[in-house]
Amino acid sequence: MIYLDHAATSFPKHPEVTQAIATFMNVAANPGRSGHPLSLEAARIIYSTRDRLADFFQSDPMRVIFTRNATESINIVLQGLLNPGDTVLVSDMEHNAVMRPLHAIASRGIHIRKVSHSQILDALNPQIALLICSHGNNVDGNVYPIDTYLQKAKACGVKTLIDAAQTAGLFQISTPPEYLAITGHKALGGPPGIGALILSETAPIPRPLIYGGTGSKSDKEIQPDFLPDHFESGTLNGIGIAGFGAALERLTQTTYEERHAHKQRLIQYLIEGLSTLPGLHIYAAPPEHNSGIVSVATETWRVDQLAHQLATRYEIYTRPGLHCAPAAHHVLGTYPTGTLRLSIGATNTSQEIEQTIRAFQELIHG
Amino acid sequence: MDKYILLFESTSAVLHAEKILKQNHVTIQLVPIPRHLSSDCGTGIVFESESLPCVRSIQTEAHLEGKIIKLSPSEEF
Repeated sequence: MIYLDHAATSFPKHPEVTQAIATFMNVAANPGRSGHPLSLEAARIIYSTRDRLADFFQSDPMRVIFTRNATESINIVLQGLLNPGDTVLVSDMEHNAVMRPLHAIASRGIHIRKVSHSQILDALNPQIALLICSHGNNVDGNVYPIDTYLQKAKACGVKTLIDAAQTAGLFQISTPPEYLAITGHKALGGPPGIGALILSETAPIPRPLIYGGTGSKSDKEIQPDFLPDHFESGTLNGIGIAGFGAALERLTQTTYEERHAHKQRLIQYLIEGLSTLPGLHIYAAPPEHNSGIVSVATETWRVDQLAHQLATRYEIYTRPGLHCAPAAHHVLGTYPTGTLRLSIGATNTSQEIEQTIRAFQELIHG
Repeated sequence: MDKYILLFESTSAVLHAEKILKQNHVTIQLVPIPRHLSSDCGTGIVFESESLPCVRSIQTEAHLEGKIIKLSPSEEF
């Protein structure tokens, strides 16, 4: 089996991640609800992951908020920060994790200004309340010059929310955005169902998405205003957080440069191999600023047929369709049919890419 | 020897402080907070009076916002 769907979720997870989940199940209870050893152990495991994330993203552990995924992190900011009359600047390549909440808040009197990436710098001005864009695109792998955007936004006094679902762990951001949305289960190697919102030191605190028990200020029926409890009502996803912590620990054994170099080499190999095939259209950013994604389309196969043939004849697992990103497909000219997306991860090898190219050769040439 | 308890608003803050105090070799114990002392999170950090100057100094250096309360003999664990 060749797994080329890492942009959806990384696979397989490292055994240490699985072990950390199992350990949590056996040694930990509900964190922050009591002082007995099982509750404390859960709290320590959770704090340890919070601390690791703070180290990894140069933040303060108290400003690391656990969420289910990047989508929830984005929703916290979009639904909790903006007020009627505010204007949001957004790129025209965004995932529905961004576009759907934006459409929802547009009906509440928030103005949305959508521009191409080449127009972002010119469009930033002090009247913009928030710039939101992804660091890396999930259809063609393009990693955008986010530090340039962030520096201009800071100079204009514009708050920034960066969706780093595809890039966290692969590409660093030097200028911290006010809000960084990440998910644990992609390049960071953690389990599904756990993500984080990381607030910079100067980020205003949005209203929470949900309210409830936090184990703190229990005599009050008003939501605590301090972090992280302000956003973390109800029992946390302890097993997800435990697995995420193990994944981060594992990740620190390699450098950003090593991880990126591995993907860059395989992406280059894949693009070169597929480029020789007649009638195969390739949608992929150059390897040096590609998060590990190559999308393709051909007139001879529908993308779903292509995915099915690859899976059943060659055991190569990919993802066809619109990838929850109709906006990006509109810009790329691949809407509504979509593309077949091949996404490379840390566990892929040159031999697997070679076999994939050979499979495409057989399918295209018949 | 007198004992003191360090109280924080959240469990995350308690564990952040626990890490820093242990790194500085302060002998501490995590205990359930007596309810009459605070309605904040359920866990506090107890230490002996000989560590008080050290804890105060670490609190300032590490920007730990917790509150220190002297425990009466009846409040000790």
